[in-house]
Amino acid sequence: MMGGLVTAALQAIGGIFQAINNLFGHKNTPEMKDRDKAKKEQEFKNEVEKAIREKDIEKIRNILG
Amino acid sequence: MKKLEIFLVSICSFFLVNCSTVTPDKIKDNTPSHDSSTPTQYDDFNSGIIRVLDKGLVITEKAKDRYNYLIQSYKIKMKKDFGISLSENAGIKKYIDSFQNELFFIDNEHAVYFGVMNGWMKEKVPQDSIVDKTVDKITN
Repeated sequence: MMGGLVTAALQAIGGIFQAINNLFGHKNTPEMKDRDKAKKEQEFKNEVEKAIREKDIEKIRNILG
Repeated sequence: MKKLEIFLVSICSFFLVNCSTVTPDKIKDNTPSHDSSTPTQYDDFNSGIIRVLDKGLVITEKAKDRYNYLIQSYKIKMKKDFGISLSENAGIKKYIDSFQNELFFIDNEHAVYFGVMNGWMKEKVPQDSIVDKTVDKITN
């Protein structure tokens, strides 16, 4: 009886983790990582463009140094 | 029952916070680097950038050399990632300042590429392989 309860509780916890993995596991596939990296690259390029457009010499020096 | 609810909410919150995509953030410096080729009239902690003009930047010889080294290292990657074909001294012109120092001018477009490639170098992004360079030489 007690053993059955423990097993059921463990299975329930396992089920919760499985559900969480199903929900969020897809976020770290290689494709998602590549997309996230490309997004960060583009954001960085935009930041460099902005610093140059605004003639922010301190920022330009930090980026190019 | 209340304790179980708290436990479940805690677990879900933990995963919501921690299960985001993990890629490293870009490296950002907060101080300019020393440039030994800076003429004496200027502060030499300038990362090789002397002045910002409307259409580009005035840079030192060392900064120009660094730019050319970056082109050598990431020419193929630039072409693959941004469709930009760069060659040595692309976007660079000679510039004589008011003290008659020989400096260089890099236009805004190429200054952006300089920044992007410098970011890769800071992050130790692998340089173009010999195979890629050879293929590029054959095809162009």
